[in-house]
Amino acid sequence: MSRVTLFWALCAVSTLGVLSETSAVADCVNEEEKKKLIDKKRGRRQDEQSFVKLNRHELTLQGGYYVSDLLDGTFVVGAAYTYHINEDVGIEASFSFSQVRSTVAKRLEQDRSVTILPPEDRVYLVFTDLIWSPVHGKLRMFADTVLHFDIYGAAGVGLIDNATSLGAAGQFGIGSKLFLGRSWAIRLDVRDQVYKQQILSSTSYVNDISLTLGVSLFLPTGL
Amino acid sequence: MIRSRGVLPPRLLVPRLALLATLILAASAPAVSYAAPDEACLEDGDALGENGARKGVQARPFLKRLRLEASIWGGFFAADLVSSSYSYGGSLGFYPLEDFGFEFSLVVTNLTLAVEKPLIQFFSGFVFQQSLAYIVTGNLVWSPVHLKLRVAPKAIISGDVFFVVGAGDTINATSQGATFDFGIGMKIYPNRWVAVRFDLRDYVIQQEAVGVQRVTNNLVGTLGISLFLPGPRPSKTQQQQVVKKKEPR
Repeated sequence: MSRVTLFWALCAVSTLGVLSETSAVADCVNEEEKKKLIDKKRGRRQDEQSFVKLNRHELTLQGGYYVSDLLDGTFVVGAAYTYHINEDVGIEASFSFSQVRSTVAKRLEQDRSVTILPPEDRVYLVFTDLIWSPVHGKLRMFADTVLHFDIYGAAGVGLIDNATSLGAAGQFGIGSKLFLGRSWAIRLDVRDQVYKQQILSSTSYVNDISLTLGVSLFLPTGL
Repeated sequence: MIRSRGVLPPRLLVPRLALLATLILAASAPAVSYAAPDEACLEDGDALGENGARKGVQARPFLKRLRLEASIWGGFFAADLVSSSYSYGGSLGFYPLEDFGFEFSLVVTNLTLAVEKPLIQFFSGFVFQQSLAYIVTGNLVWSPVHLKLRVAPKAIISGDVFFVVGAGDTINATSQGATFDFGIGMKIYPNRWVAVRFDLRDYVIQQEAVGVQRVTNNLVGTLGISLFLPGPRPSKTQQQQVVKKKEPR
Protein backbone atom coordinates (compact mmCIF):
# COMPACT_ATOMS: atom_id res chain seq x y z
CA MET A 1 0.00 0.00 0.00
CA SER A 2 1.41 3.36 -0.96
CA ARG A 3 1.79 6.14 1.58
CA VAL A 4 -0.85 8.31 -0.10
CA THR A 5 -3.45 5.49 0.07
CA LEU A 6 -2.55 4.87 3.69
CA PHE A 7 -2.94 8.58 4.41
CA TRP A 8 -6.46 8.77 2.92
CA ALA A 9 -7.52 5.56 4.64
CA LEU A 10 -6.44 6.98 8.00
CA CYS A 11 -8.30 10.20 7.24
CA ALA A 12 -11.50 8.27 6.46
CA VAL A 13 -11.28 6.14 9.61
CA SER A 14 -10.68 9.10 11.87
CA THR A 15 -13.51 11.12 10.25
CA LEU A 16 -15.92 8.20 10.75
CA GLY A 17 -14.80 8.01 14.35
CA VAL A 18 -15.57 11.70 14.89
CA LEU A 19 -19.00 11.39 13.24
CA SER A 20 -19.97 8.36 15.28
CA GLU A 21 -18.96 10.07 18.50
CA THR A 22 -20.96 13.15 17.48
CA SER A 23 -24.15 11.13 16.91
CA ALA A 24 -23.71 9.41 20.26
CA VAL A 25 -23.36 12.81 21.91
CA ALA A 26 -26.58 14.06 20.22
CA ASP A 27 -28.61 11.31 21.90
CA CYS A 28 -27.60 12.44 25.37
CA VAL A 29 -29.10 15.69 26.62
CA ASN A 30 -28.86 17.74 29.71
CA GLU A 31 -31.79 17.07 32.05
CA GLU A 32 -32.68 20.74 32.34
CA GLU A 33 -32.59 21.17 28.59
CA LYS A 34 -34.69 18.03 28.18
CA LYS A 35 -37.31 19.39 30.60
CA LYS A 36 -37.38 22.69 28.74
CA LEU A 37 -37.79 20.93 25.41
CA ILE A 38 -40.56 18.70 26.73
CA ASP A 39 -42.39 21.71 28.17
CA LYS A 40 -42.03 23.45 24.84
CA LYS A 41 -43.39 20.40 23.05
CA ARG A 42 -46.28 20.19 25.51
CA GLY A 43 -47.14 23.80 24.77
CA ARG A 44 -47.17 23.00 21.08
CA ARG A 45 -49.54 20.10 21.65
CA GLN A 46 -52.06 22.43 23.26
CA ASP A 47 -52.42 24.13 19.91
CA GLU A 48 -52.49 20.90 17.97
CA GLN A 49 -55.74 19.41 16.78
CA SER A 50 -55.60 16.32 14.69
CA PHE A 51 -58.72 17.35 12.75
CA VAL A 52 -58.49 20.68 10.95
CA LYS A 53 -61.71 22.70 10.60
CA LEU A 54 -60.29 26.10 9.69
CA ASN A 55 -61.73 27.38 6.38
CA ARG A 56 -63.42 24.07 5.63
CA HIS A 57 -66.95 23.46 4.42
CA GLU A 58 -69.02 20.88 6.24
CA LEU A 59 -71.95 19.13 4.58
CA THR A 60 -74.30 17.23 6.86
CA LEU A 61 -77.19 14.83 6.43
CA GLN A 62 -79.18 14.24 9.58
CA GLY A 63 -82.35 12.73 10.91
CA GLY A 64 -83.99 11.98 14.21
CA TYR A 65 -86.83 12.59 16.59
CA TYR A 66 -88.80 15.84 16.82
CA VAL A 67 -90.91 16.34 19.92
CA SER A 68 -93.46 19.08 19.51
CA ASP A 69 -94.38 20.86 22.71
CA LEU A 70 -98.15 20.75 22.20
CA LEU A 71 -98.40 17.92 19.69
CA ASP A 72 -97.03 14.40 19.25
CA GLY A 73 -93.41 13.42 18.76
CA THR A 74 -92.49 12.69 15.15
CA PHE A 75 -89.58 12.30 12.73
CA VAL A 76 -87.31 15.02 11.39
CA VAL A 77 -84.89 14.81 8.45
CA GLY A 78 -82.64 17.49 7.08
CA ALA A 79 -79.36 18.78 5.80
CA ALA A 80 -76.93 21.45 6.90
CA TYR A 81 -74.01 23.41 5.53
CA THR A 82 -71.39 24.83 7.89
CA TYR A 83 -68.49 27.10 7.08
CA HIS A 84 -65.78 27.05 9.72
CA ILE A 85 -64.33 30.54 10.10
CA ASN A 86 -61.69 29.20 12.45
CA GLU A 87 -61.14 26.10 14.59
CA ASP A 88 -63.73 27.17 17.15
CA VAL A 89 -66.37 29.19 15.30
CA GLY A 90 -68.58 28.33 12.36
CA ILE A 91 -71.72 29.53 10.61
CA GLU A 92 -74.38 26.98 9.78
CA ALA A 93 -77.40 27.01 7.52
CA SER A 94 -79.85 24.16 7.88
CA PHE A 95 -83.04 22.91 6.35
CA SER A 96 -85.27 20.25 7.91
CA PHE A 97 -88.59 18.64 7.23
CA SER A 98 -91.10 17.20 9.67
CA GLN A 99 -94.83 16.58 10.04
CA VAL A 100 -97.40 17.76 12.56
CA ARG A 101 -99.19 14.93 14.29
CA SER A 102 -101.50 14.83 17.27
CA THR A 103 -103.51 11.77 18.21
CA VAL A 104 -105.05 13.70 21.08
CA ALA A 105 -106.22 16.52 18.77
CA LYS A 106 -107.66 13.95 16.38
CA ARG A 107 -109.60 12.33 19.20
CA LEU A 108 -110.88 15.68 20.46
CA GLU A 109 -111.94 16.57 16.92
CA GLN A 110 -113.92 13.32 16.69
CA ASP A 111 -115.50 13.69 20.11
CA ARG A 112 -116.44 17.33 19.87
CA SER A 113 -116.91 17.77 16.15
CA VAL A 114 -114.44 20.62 15.88
CA THR A 115 -111.33 21.15 13.76
CA ILE A 116 -108.28 21.77 15.94
CA LEU A 117 -105.45 21.24 13.51
CA PRO A 118 -105.44 22.40 9.89
CA PRO A 119 -105.20 19.67 7.23
CA GLU A 120 -101.79 20.92 6.08
CA ASP A 121 -99.38 18.92 8.23
CA ARG A 122 -95.98 19.64 6.65
CA VAL A 123 -93.35 21.48 8.69
CA TYR A 124 -90.29 23.14 7.14
CA LEU A 125 -87.56 24.38 9.42
CA VAL A 126 -84.97 26.80 8.01
CA PHE A 127 -82.31 28.14 10.35
CA THR A 128 -78.98 29.92 10.41
CA ASP A 129 -76.84 29.31 13.46
CA LEU A 130 -73.61 30.41 14.98
CA ILE A 131 -71.63 27.38 16.10
CA TRP A 132 -69.07 27.69 18.86
CA SER A 133 -66.86 24.72 19.72
CA PRO A 134 -64.95 25.65 22.87
CA VAL A 135 -64.37 22.07 24.01
CA HIS A 136 -62.06 19.68 22.19
CA GLY A 137 -61.38 16.25 23.51
CA LYS A 138 -60.26 12.74 22.81
CA LEU A 139 -61.87 9.61 24.01
CA ARG A 140 -60.72 6.08 24.51
CA MET A 141 -63.12 3.42 23.33
CA PHE A 142 -62.48 0.02 24.86
CA ALA A 143 -58.71 -0.65 24.99
CA ASP A 144 -56.74 1.12 22.29
CA THR A 145 -58.97 3.16 20.02
CA VAL A 146 -58.57 6.90 20.59
CA LEU A 147 -60.94 9.27 18.77
CA HIS A 148 -61.14 13.05 18.75
CA PHE A 149 -64.33 15.00 19.24
CA ASP A 150 -65.76 18.49 19.76
CA ILE A 151 -68.58 19.66 21.97
CA TYR A 152 -70.27 22.76 20.68
CA GLY A 153 -73.11 25.14 21.34
CA ALA A 154 -75.42 26.52 18.68
CA ALA A 155 -77.71 29.55 18.62
CA GLY A 156 -79.57 31.07 15.73
CA VAL A 157 -82.73 32.32 14.14
CA GLY A 158 -84.91 31.09 11.34
CA LEU A 159 -88.35 30.18 10.16
CA ILE A 160 -90.74 27.38 10.96
CA ASP A 161 -93.14 27.14 8.09
CA ASN A 162 -96.30 25.39 9.15
CA ALA A 163 -100.05 26.05 9.33
CA THR A 164 -99.87 26.43 13.12
CA SER A 165 -96.65 28.46 13.26
CA LEU A 166 -96.50 32.23 13.12
CA GLY A 167 -93.16 32.20 11.25
CA ALA A 168 -90.06 33.49 12.98
CA ALA A 169 -88.30 31.19 15.38
CA GLY A 170 -85.24 31.05 17.56
CA GLN A 171 -83.10 28.03 18.13
CA PHE A 172 -80.39 27.01 20.57
CA GLY A 173 -78.80 23.73 21.43
CA ILE A 174 -75.79 21.62 22.09
CA GLY A 175 -74.05 18.98 20.05
CA SER A 176 -71.04 16.78 19.64
CA LYS A 177 -68.98 15.77 16.61
CA LEU A 178 -66.92 12.63 16.62
CA PHE A 179 -64.20 12.80 13.96
CA LEU A 180 -63.45 9.78 11.81
CA GLY A 181 -60.34 10.08 9.70
CA ARG A 182 -59.54 13.51 8.21
CA SER A 183 -62.81 14.32 6.46
CA TRP A 184 -65.73 12.60 8.13
CA ALA A 185 -67.61 13.11 11.35
CA ILE A 186 -70.63 11.71 13.15
CA ARG A 187 -72.66 14.34 14.92
CA LEU A 188 -75.34 14.29 17.58
CA ASP A 189 -77.44 17.41 18.08
CA VAL A 190 -80.07 18.46 20.58
CA ARG A 191 -81.88 21.65 19.64
CA ASP A 192 -84.69 23.62 21.17
CA GLN A 193 -86.81 25.54 18.68
CA VAL A 194 -88.75 28.38 20.28
CA TYR A 195 -91.60 29.96 18.34
CA LYS A 196 -95.17 31.11 18.60
CA GLN A 197 -97.76 28.50 17.75
CA GLN A 198 -101.43 29.03 17.19
CA ILE A 199 -104.08 26.38 17.70
CA LEU A 200 -107.59 27.65 17.08
CA SER A 201 -107.65 31.09 18.70
CA SER A 202 -105.05 30.29 21.34
CA THR A 203 -101.45 31.35 20.74
CA SER A 204 -98.51 30.46 22.93
CA TYR A 205 -94.72 30.25 22.82
CA VAL A 206 -93.64 26.65 22.50
CA ASN A 207 -90.37 24.75 22.90
CA ASP A 208 -90.02 21.95 20.38
CA ILE A 209 -87.07 19.65 21.04
CA SER A 210 -85.26 17.80 18.27
CA LEU A 211 -82.67 15.08 18.66
CA THR A 212 -80.77 14.25 15.50
CA LEU A 213 -77.94 11.99 14.46
CA GLY A 214 -76.02 12.94 11.35
CA VAL A 215 -73.02 12.32 9.21
CA SER A 216 -70.74 15.12 8.01
CA LEU A 217 -68.27 15.46 5.17
CA PHE A 218 -65.60 18.15 5.42
CA LEU A 219 -64.40 19.78 2.20
CA PRO A 220 -61.74 19.96 0.97
CA THR A 221 -61.08 16.39 1.98
CA GLY A 222 -57.90 14.91 3.41
CA LEU A 223 -56.53 17.96 5.24
CA MET B 1 11.22 17.25 -12.12
CA ILE B 2 9.82 13.81 -12.35
CA ARG B 3 8.97 12.14 -9.02
CA SER B 4 8.07 8.56 -8.46
CA ARG B 5 4.30 7.71 -7.96
CA GLY B 6 3.11 7.69 -4.31
CA VAL B 7 6.02 9.67 -2.88
CA LEU B 8 5.22 13.15 -1.58
CA PRO B 9 7.81 15.83 -1.20
CA PRO B 10 8.41 16.97 2.44
CA ARG B 11 6.69 20.38 1.90
CA LEU B 12 3.41 18.56 1.15
CA LEU B 13 3.82 15.72 3.57
CA VAL B 14 4.24 17.79 6.76
CA PRO B 15 0.92 19.71 6.64
CA ARG B 16 -0.94 16.55 5.70
CA LEU B 17 0.52 14.67 8.61
CA ALA B 18 -0.43 17.58 10.90
CA LEU B 19 -4.04 17.40 9.63
CA LEU B 20 -4.07 13.62 10.15
CA ALA B 21 -2.80 14.01 13.72
CA THR B 22 -5.54 16.57 14.45
CA LEU B 23 -8.24 14.24 13.10
CA ILE B 24 -6.95 11.29 15.13
CA LEU B 25 -6.91 13.43 18.29
CA ALA B 26 -10.45 14.61 17.61
CA ALA B 27 -11.64 11.05 17.08
CA SER B 28 -10.11 9.84 20.31
CA ALA B 29 -11.42 12.79 22.40
CA PRO B 30 -13.88 11.67 25.11
CA ALA B 31 -17.61 12.40 24.59
CA VAL B 32 -17.97 13.51 28.20
CA SER B 33 -17.11 16.99 27.16
CA TYR B 34 -20.69 17.29 25.81
CA ALA B 35 -22.67 15.19 28.27
CA ALA B 36 -22.00 14.69 31.96
CA PRO B 37 -21.82 11.08 33.18
CA ASP B 38 -25.12 11.44 35.06
CA GLU B 39 -27.05 12.79 32.04
CA ALA B 40 -29.59 10.40 30.59
CA CYS B 41 -29.37 9.27 26.99
CA LEU B 42 -32.61 9.25 25.03
CA GLU B 43 -34.35 6.08 24.01
CA ASP B 44 -36.35 6.05 20.79
CA GLY B 45 -39.55 5.86 22.77
CA ASP B 46 -38.79 8.84 24.99
CA ALA B 47 -40.72 12.07 24.70
CA LEU B 48 -37.89 13.65 22.70
CA GLY B 49 -36.59 10.45 21.14
CA GLU B 50 -36.55 9.30 17.55
CA ASN B 51 -40.23 8.46 17.48
CA GLY B 52 -41.32 11.50 19.50
CA ALA B 53 -43.42 9.25 21.68
CA ARG B 54 -46.54 10.62 23.25
CA LYS B 55 -47.86 9.68 26.64
CA GLY B 56 -50.29 7.15 25.19
CA VAL B 57 -53.11 5.65 27.25
CA GLN B 58 -52.87 6.88 30.81
CA ALA B 59 -54.21 5.60 34.10
CA ARG B 60 -57.65 7.03 34.80
CA PRO B 61 -57.55 10.03 37.11
CA PHE B 62 -61.12 9.41 38.33
CA LEU B 63 -62.02 5.99 39.72
CA LYS B 64 -65.60 4.80 40.18
CA ARG B 65 -65.05 1.21 41.29
CA LEU B 66 -66.77 0.33 44.61
CA ARG B 67 -68.14 3.85 44.99
CA LEU B 68 -71.64 5.21 45.48
CA GLU B 69 -72.90 8.01 43.31
CA ALA B 70 -75.65 10.39 44.44
CA SER B 71 -76.99 12.78 41.80
CA ILE B 72 -79.52 15.55 41.49
CA TRP B 73 -80.66 16.83 38.11
CA GLY B 74 -83.09 19.04 36.27
CA GLY B 75 -84.06 19.66 32.65
CA PHE B 76 -86.81 19.18 30.13
CA PHE B 77 -89.41 16.47 29.59
CA ALA B 78 -90.32 16.47 25.90
CA ALA B 79 -93.56 14.51 26.06
CA ASP B 80 -94.91 12.59 23.13
CA LEU B 81 -98.63 12.37 23.89
CA VAL B 82 -99.11 15.22 26.35
CA SER B 83 -97.37 18.61 26.54
CA SER B 84 -93.67 19.09 27.12
CA SER B 85 -92.65 20.34 30.51
CA TYR B 86 -89.80 20.76 32.99
CA SER B 87 -88.37 17.80 34.91
CA TYR B 88 -86.26 17.28 37.99
CA GLY B 89 -85.11 14.41 40.15
CA GLY B 90 -82.05 12.44 41.02
CA SER B 91 -80.39 9.07 41.16
CA LEU B 92 -78.41 6.72 43.38
CA GLY B 93 -75.81 4.53 41.77
CA PHE B 94 -73.20 1.96 42.70
CA TYR B 95 -70.25 0.78 40.62
CA PRO B 96 -69.02 -2.76 41.35
CA LEU B 97 -66.63 -2.40 38.39
CA GLU B 98 -64.95 0.59 36.77
CA ASP B 99 -67.10 0.32 33.64
CA PHE B 100 -70.35 -1.14 34.99
CA GLY B 101 -72.77 0.18 37.55
CA PHE B 102 -76.35 0.09 38.77
CA GLU B 103 -78.55 3.08 39.22
CA PHE B 104 -81.97 3.91 40.63
CA SER B 105 -83.35 7.09 39.19
CA LEU B 106 -86.30 9.37 39.74
CA VAL B 107 -87.74 11.90 37.30
CA VAL B 108 -90.59 14.16 38.36
CA THR B 109 -92.53 16.08 35.74
CA ASN B 110 -95.78 17.95 35.35
CA LEU B 111 -98.17 16.42 32.84
CA THR B 112 -100.52 18.83 31.11
CA LEU B 113 -102.45 18.79 27.86
CA ALA B 114 -102.12 22.27 26.36
CA VAL B 115 -103.66 21.27 23.02
CA GLU B 116 -106.95 21.01 24.86
CA LYS B 117 -106.71 24.59 26.14
CA PRO B 118 -108.37 26.32 23.14
CA LEU B 119 -111.41 24.10 23.52
CA ILE B 120 -112.24 25.57 26.92
CA GLN B 121 -113.71 28.55 25.08
CA PHE B 122 -116.27 26.29 23.47
CA PHE B 123 -116.70 23.48 25.98
CA SER B 124 -116.80 23.75 29.73
CA GLY B 125 -114.08 22.18 31.83
CA PHE B 126 -110.94 20.19 31.00
CA VAL B 127 -111.09 16.49 30.35
CA PHE B 128 -107.45 16.01 31.21
CA GLN B 129 -106.40 16.63 34.78
CA GLN B 130 -102.99 18.23 35.22
CA SER B 131 -100.84 16.18 37.61
CA LEU B 132 -97.30 15.33 38.62
CA ALA B 133 -95.77 12.12 37.28
CA TYR B 134 -93.06 10.22 39.18
CA ILE B 135 -90.96 8.02 36.93
CA VAL B 136 -88.91 5.51 38.93
CA THR B 137 -86.49 3.21 37.10
CA GLY B 138 -83.64 0.82 37.83
CA ASN B 139 -80.84 1.01 35.28
CA LEU B 140 -77.70 -0.72 34.21
CA VAL B 141 -74.95 1.79 33.49
CA TRP B 142 -72.10 1.00 31.07
CA SER B 143 -69.21 3.41 30.65
CA PRO B 144 -67.04 2.10 27.81
CA VAL B 145 -65.78 5.51 26.69
CA HIS B 146 -63.31 7.58 28.68
CA LEU B 147 -62.40 11.03 27.51
CA LYS B 148 -60.22 14.04 28.09
CA LEU B 149 -61.50 17.51 27.35
CA ARG B 150 -59.52 20.62 26.69
CA VAL B 151 -61.69 23.36 28.15
CA ALA B 152 -58.99 26.06 28.14
CA PRO B 153 -55.45 26.25 26.69
CA LYS B 154 -54.00 24.79 29.86
CA ALA B 155 -57.00 23.05 31.42
CA ILE B 156 -57.69 19.42 30.62
CA ILE B 157 -60.35 17.49 32.51
CA SER B 158 -61.44 13.89 32.19
CA GLY B 159 -64.85 12.36 31.80
CA ASP B 160 -66.91 9.37 30.74
CA VAL B 161 -69.54 8.72 28.12
CA PHE B 162 -72.02 6.16 29.36
CA PHE B 163 -75.08 4.25 28.24
CA VAL B 164 -78.06 3.33 30.39
CA VAL B 165 -80.85 0.84 29.96
CA GLY B 166 -83.48 -0.06 32.47
CA ALA B 167 -87.10 -0.47 33.48
CA GLY B 168 -89.46 0.75 36.15
CA ASP B 169 -92.79 2.42 36.66
CA THR B 170 -94.47 5.76 36.09
CA ILE B 171 -96.67 6.79 38.97
CA ASN B 172 -99.40 8.76 37.26
CA ALA B 173 -102.99 8.20 36.11
CA THR B 174 -101.97 8.33 32.44
CA SER B 175 -99.51 5.44 32.74
CA GLN B 176 -100.80 2.02 31.76
CA GLY B 177 -97.99 -0.33 32.71
CA ALA B 178 -94.25 -0.66 32.94
CA THR B 179 -91.84 2.04 31.86
CA PHE B 180 -88.65 1.32 29.94
CA ASP B 181 -85.80 3.71 29.45
CA PHE B 182 -82.55 3.89 27.55
CA GLY B 183 -80.16 6.68 26.86
CA ILE B 184 -76.74 8.19 26.67
CA GLY B 185 -74.92 10.55 28.97
CA MET B 186 -71.66 12.26 29.73
CA LYS B 187 -69.93 12.92 33.03
CA ILE B 188 -67.14 15.43 33.55
CA TYR B 189 -64.94 15.09 36.62
CA PRO B 190 -63.64 18.41 37.95
CA ASN B 191 -62.08 16.62 40.96
CA ARG B 192 -62.02 13.16 42.61
CA TRP B 193 -65.40 13.50 44.31
CA VAL B 194 -67.74 15.46 42.09
CA ALA B 195 -69.06 14.99 38.57
CA VAL B 196 -71.12 17.22 36.32
CA ARG B 197 -73.43 15.07 34.22
CA PHE B 198 -75.60 15.48 31.16
CA ASP B 199 -78.18 12.80 30.45
CA LEU B 200 -80.40 12.24 27.45
CA ARG B 201 -82.93 9.43 27.82
CA ASP B 202 -85.95 8.06 26.09
CA TYR B 203 -88.68 6.92 28.48
CA VAL B 204 -91.02 4.48 26.76
CA ILE B 205 -94.40 4.54 28.50
CA GLN B 206 -97.80 3.09 27.62
CA GLN B 207 -99.95 6.19 28.18
CA GLU B 208 -103.60 7.11 27.99
CA ALA B 209 -105.02 10.62 27.68
CA VAL B 210 -108.56 11.73 26.69
CA GLY B 211 -109.34 8.25 25.42
CA VAL B 212 -106.15 7.92 23.34
CA GLN B 213 -103.96 5.05 24.42
CA ARG B 214 -100.57 4.31 22.87
CA VAL B 215 -96.89 3.67 23.51
CA THR B 216 -95.09 6.98 23.87
CA ASN B 217 -91.44 7.98 23.52
CA ASN B 218 -90.67 10.80 25.90
CA LEU B 219 -87.33 12.50 25.55
CA VAL B 220 -85.77 13.67 28.82
CA GLY B 221 -82.67 15.86 28.90
CA THR B 222 -81.14 16.71 32.25
CA LEU B 223 -78.11 18.51 33.60
CA GLY B 224 -77.00 17.38 37.04
CA ILE B 225 -74.30 17.14 39.64
CA SER B 226 -73.02 13.95 41.29
CA LEU B 227 -71.16 13.23 44.49
CA PHE B 228 -69.06 10.04 44.70
CA LEU B 229 -68.56 8.37 48.09
CA PRO B 230 -66.29 7.08 49.64
CA GLY B 231 -62.86 8.05 48.28
CA PRO B 232 -61.24 6.42 45.22
CA ARG B 233 -60.51 2.71 45.60
CA PRO B 234 -57.96 1.72 42.96
CA SER B 235 -57.77 -1.93 41.94
CA LYS B 236 -54.44 -3.81 42.16
CA THR B 237 -53.74 -3.15 38.49
CA GLN B 238 -54.45 0.54 38.90
CA GLN B 239 -52.21 0.69 41.98
CA GLN B 240 -49.42 -0.95 39.99
CA GLN B 241 -49.91 1.58 37.20
CA VAL B 242 -49.59 4.45 39.69
CA VAL B 243 -46.41 2.96 41.22
CA LYS B 244 -44.96 2.40 37.74
CA LYS B 245 -45.70 6.00 36.82
CA LYS B 246 -43.94 7.32 39.94
CA GLU B 247 -40.80 5.21 39.43
CA PRO B 248 -37.94 7.23 37.98
CA ARG B 249 -36.64 6.00 34.66
